Amino acid sequence: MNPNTNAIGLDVGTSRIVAAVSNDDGYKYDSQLNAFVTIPFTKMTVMTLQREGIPHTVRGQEIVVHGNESEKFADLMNTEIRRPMTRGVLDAKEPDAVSMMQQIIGSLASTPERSTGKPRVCFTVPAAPLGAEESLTYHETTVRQLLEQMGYETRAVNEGLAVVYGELESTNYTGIGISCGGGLCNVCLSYLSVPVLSFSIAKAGDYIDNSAASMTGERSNHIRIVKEGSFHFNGFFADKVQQVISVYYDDMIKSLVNGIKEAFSSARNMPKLNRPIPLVLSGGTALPPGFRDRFEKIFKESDVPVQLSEVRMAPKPLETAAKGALIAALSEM
Amino acid sequence: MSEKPPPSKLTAPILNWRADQIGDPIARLRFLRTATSTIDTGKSSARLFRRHGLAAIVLLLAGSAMMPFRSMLSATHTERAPRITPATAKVDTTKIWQVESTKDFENYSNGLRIEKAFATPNRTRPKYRVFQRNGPQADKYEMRSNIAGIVYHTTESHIAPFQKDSNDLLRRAGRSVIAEVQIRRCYNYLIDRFGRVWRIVEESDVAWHAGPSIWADSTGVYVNLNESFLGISFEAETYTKDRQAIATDAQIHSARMLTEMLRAKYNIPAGNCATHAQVSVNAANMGIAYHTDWAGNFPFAALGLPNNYAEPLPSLWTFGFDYDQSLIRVLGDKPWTGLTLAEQHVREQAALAGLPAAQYKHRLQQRYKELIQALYGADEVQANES
Repeated sequence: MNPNTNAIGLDVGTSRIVAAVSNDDGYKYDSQLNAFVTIPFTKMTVMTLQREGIPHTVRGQEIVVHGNESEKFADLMNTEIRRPMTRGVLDAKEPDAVSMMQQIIGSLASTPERSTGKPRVCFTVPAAPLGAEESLTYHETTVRQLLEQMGYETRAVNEGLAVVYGELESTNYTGIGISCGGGLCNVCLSYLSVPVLSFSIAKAGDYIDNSAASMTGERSNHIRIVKEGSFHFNGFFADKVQQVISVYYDDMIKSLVNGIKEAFSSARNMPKLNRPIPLVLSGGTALPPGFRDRFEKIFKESDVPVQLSEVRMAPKPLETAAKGALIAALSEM
Repeated sequence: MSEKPPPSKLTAPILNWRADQIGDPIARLRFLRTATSTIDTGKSSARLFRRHGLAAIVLLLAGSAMMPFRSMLSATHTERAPRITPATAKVDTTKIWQVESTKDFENYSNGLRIEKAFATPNRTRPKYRVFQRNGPQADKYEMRSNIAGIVYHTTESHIAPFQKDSNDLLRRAGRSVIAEVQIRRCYNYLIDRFGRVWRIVEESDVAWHAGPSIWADSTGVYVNLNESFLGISFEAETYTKDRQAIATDAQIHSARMLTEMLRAKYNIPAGNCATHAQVSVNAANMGIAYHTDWAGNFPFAALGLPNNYAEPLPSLWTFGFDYDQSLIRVLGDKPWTGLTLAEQHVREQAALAGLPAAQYKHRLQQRYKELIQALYGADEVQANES
């Protein structure tokens, strides 16, 4: 593949924003937490942040630290991080949502060269939640405007479909792509690149964090760090936090599989699949060791009306959707 | 939950089969997204079947088989040129200017000195046609008059050993070559073995250097480059012992300064600096590299240029030109990356058009002949082929 620095794939997730561009070696990724935290202004803090190259903005008597470092600062200051997005879409109640998103996207290093015409960005958008015809127009339009203001030509791609584009080239983009993110789990059945069926469920990483936090009395932030740092599905849990996390993980997976079952059962335009199709799992919430096995076990027990050839993890679960979005952008050039 | 109708069970196997022929995942996705946006859905197939029974199946099979072909072949926008790597080699135009000009020479701020003793006029550079990149056609072009690029040549003259003992021979040979190319108006510049830069045909005039030739950049496709490209020749010979032209250090140094000056003066993109072997074609056998000067070993990097051997070769992907083993032998069994990329692109485009590669290539070749005929008339087509 020729390197094409004029296209960018952007996975705009509740938890993380991941950018992908192509280079000589294939694909290059960069990511930032889609979060920020405000800390009191002091000159010394500003100098330290500048020296360490930590993305931040000074705003009156406070400093806004955004992106990857916000989590550490929140833990340090014993406060919760703030997020521009909630449940897969822009948080209408967060007054700084749009400006922070712009800062975070701007701080991603994988931006294309500007010398070769207007760069094209393909960004992911969630599917509507199952059972609700919730409008996603505000979210999509705002992100599009934000990117256009930054000088990009924009395209949107369904997040689950981006997983298919990123991983299922071997089946001519036929199969099920699932992205288990922070705010939502997105599912898409693609048939020869056509998104035949797509939906999201609101039980995802944040649901696990918040539920486990309220059960244990810990902060969600702390639960998230434990979940991403040491949690695994092996049936034996070192402490209560891990045990509680496993309970809510199971709940999330069951809801996801039930959602797939319900959607497949009620779909009107299901293609006739002559052979079993693959299912790919991706996203930060799918990272714990043993997640794939747990998902497959629950899926097999649930009589979902579709035959799977395999259930597999994407090789780079955090970057799959961004890669798929980039492939979508390149396929339109 | 959002739903979109899938391709029908009649068209899906055909789409699947065609997609399997496309190696590049991005090209495959492009094909599927284009094809699935134009074909029928399962619903319409079923409705037709209910109404017209078996006849409908026959019609649908034929229709679904042909529809992607039709949409790909008839709509020129679906035929795509390969992507060109953006050239990052830039020339700082503020650092290059003419320092002095006399009747005998010109000096430039980057150290370049141009000898004018053999400078000669020729036919004034006319406006020329630049054809569209995606599916170039005879009637779709724009007229331009700027100098768009540089073609590098070798004189293929007798080369004396580059050593002190041969000084007189080197000087005599050099003068004789300069006189010869001046008479024949062969190039705009010649760089002798001591690195002296001789202006031959004035830049404003056409030199007879490129012959039947093709190149393309991000703005269009150039055919027969005498009018649009400058010609610079090295006094050198391709068929030396190792079948590669070797320039002296002095020649490379001068070529770099000359290239910088010309690129700065005419705003020439680095990607439009190519060798004669890269641009030359033979319409008689639809082969590339009719002339093989600088078929390999051209010092692109030393001239501050990107390796243009690695870019998809325009003559292959625009008009289906081909090459055989003789070129590969000239290249020392190491084909340019650009040849492989261009071939791959042609195969993918053929698959998109639903045609065997040979048939697709034939259509491209036909298009070239139509274009040459439109440019020069039937007589010139024959002249091009002879």
